[in-house]
Amino acid sequence: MKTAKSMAVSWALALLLTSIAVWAVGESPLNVLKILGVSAFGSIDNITYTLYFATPMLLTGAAVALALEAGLFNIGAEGQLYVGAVCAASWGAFSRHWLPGVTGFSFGGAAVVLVGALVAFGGGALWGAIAGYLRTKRNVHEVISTIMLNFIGMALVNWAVLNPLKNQDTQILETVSIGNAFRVPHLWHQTTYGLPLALVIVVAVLWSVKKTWWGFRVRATGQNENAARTAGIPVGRTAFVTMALSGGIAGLVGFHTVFLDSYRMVDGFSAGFGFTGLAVALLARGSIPGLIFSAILFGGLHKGTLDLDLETEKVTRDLSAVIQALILVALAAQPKIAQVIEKLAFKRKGAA
Amino acid sequence: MTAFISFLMAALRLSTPLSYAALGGYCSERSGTVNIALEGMMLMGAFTAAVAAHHTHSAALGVLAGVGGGLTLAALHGLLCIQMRADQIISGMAVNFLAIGLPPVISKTLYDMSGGTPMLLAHERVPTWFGISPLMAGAFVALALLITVHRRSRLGQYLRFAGEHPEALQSQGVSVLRIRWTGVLLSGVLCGLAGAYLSIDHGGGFSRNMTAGRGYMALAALIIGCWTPLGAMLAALTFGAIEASQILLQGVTVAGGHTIPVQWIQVLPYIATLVILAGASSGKLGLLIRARPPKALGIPFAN
Repeated sequence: MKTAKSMAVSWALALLLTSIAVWAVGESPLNVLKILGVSAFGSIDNITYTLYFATPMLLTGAAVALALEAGLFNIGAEGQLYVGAVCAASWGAFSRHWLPGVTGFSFGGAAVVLVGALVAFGGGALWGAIAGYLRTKRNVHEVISTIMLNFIGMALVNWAVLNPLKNQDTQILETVSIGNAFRVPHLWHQTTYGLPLALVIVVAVLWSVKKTWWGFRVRATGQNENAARTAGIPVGRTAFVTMALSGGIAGLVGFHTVFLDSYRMVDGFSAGFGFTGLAVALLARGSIPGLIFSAILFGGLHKGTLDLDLETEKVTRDLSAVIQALILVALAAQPKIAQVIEKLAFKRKGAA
Repeated sequence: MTAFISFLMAALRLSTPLSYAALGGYCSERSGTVNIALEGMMLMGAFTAAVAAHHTHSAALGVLAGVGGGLTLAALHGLLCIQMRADQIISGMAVNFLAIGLPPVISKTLYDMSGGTPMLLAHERVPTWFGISPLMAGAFVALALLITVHRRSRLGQYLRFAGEHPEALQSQGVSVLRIRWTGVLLSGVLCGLAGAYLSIDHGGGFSRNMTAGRGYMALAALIIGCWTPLGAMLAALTFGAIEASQILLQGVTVAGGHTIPVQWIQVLPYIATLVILAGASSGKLGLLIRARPPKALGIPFAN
């Protein structure tokens, strides 16, 4: 309930401030909000697009939320998903000539896809583990290290699509496509099988954080490191493993794009999904429905702002970055806002 | 010899924004406010500086506007962190996202461009004499000022107390909140200068996300420099030299006649930041002093 309230306040405040900004650049705020709403949730086709964009956000949201429980700010989900994608695309390129002639389901194909998921997870986990190692053994704050790793991951993608994995048949910067036998078809219109996968992972991660002994260690580490250490919890190892797992979950976004969605890795395939994951997780505050709902809202925002490019003259998709930032502002200011609202309510009661 | 001098000049040029931002980080963090918003304040400063220089045809006004841009976001960071006692990392990320998102929206309205500003004419940019611009020299002036403040002035003492032991400061009748505000706003000014340097001095206009992580690198420089102005500046100069060495590596052939891929060269500063930071923070690379953050860093003060 508390989560729902704080989410509503954040979104309302952010949309209000955005409306003012939109009005200032000379567009009608109501019109922009209408376009956002309609293009995100206005038709079945639009909803499948929204869910399609929500899929990577669910994964990065779960990744960031897991790290947050251990008191770690994983701002590196973006880099981790890049590395996951490079690994998945490499595996896809390596296996592309296997099982020629097979197009439908086959056990061999399923095995290759499964390995693809593991490889993507491993790549992301490696990137997370570097940050985890630097944090636990070298005392380097994860915010700085993950940002640096983001840039390195981005360069890795750029290098991969230009050099070793380059698709020579096209001008577009992308890797060679994976074999026909390994292409998992879309689930429903635009929505991919990544959606059920992501939902399972969200539930599994947040449930195990709350209900298992391992999750207890994670939360204890996050809430009071010294107390946890005194209680005999291996604080360093827990933080390290959590960071690696968080990176692995983000890396699955790479698996999603290579095996479930576009069957190759395109340069710039991630529209800042790693960073959106931060907002998604912070809004959800560890609640499962909260995380799912907030990922869908951000998916809708992404879909909606894409259409702003076409339907308005002055407002572009960049508006979504502003709205995201304002949501974080509102979130940071939340305790104070709640205080003010309470005070106002109290006054009104007092007067009556 | 000329090659060496041109390398030094490149190092100096590339370290200037890092120096300003690291000194800004010093002001803010020494007084107790975590500032990962250096990146955003710098980016916003770069944008406002380029816009102002383009419209007024004056580099001086551009620099002033850059300071204004940095200050605006610093005020937001201060409002959230100091007044509202928000989580300082979340607030910093919010500021950084805002600085990424706002410039493209505004540049679309002003110039119908997606993310950049029009190229500046020569007279709209900060002039240089023998390759040295006032902003480059200004970083050293800022350093000298801050060293003096740090070691000799009452303000420097207050700044350090606000970050180490705010209660003691408050009990002496000095407002901790006011001192912390001073620190954060000073970081806004310095980051604004860093941004202005990037867009209207070193570069000829604003481009999308042109700070490219320099704010975080400046933060790393501050940590490596043990939260002192001189240390932070020396670390920033080192990072500048590493960035400059990229130019030397470009087109160099290694075994088999292959050139090093440009992407690998581009990530050099980021890798160097990680490696140096790992060495300095754990005190295992034989560094004499181990970096220790101010005691009350990141803890909001309530009076």
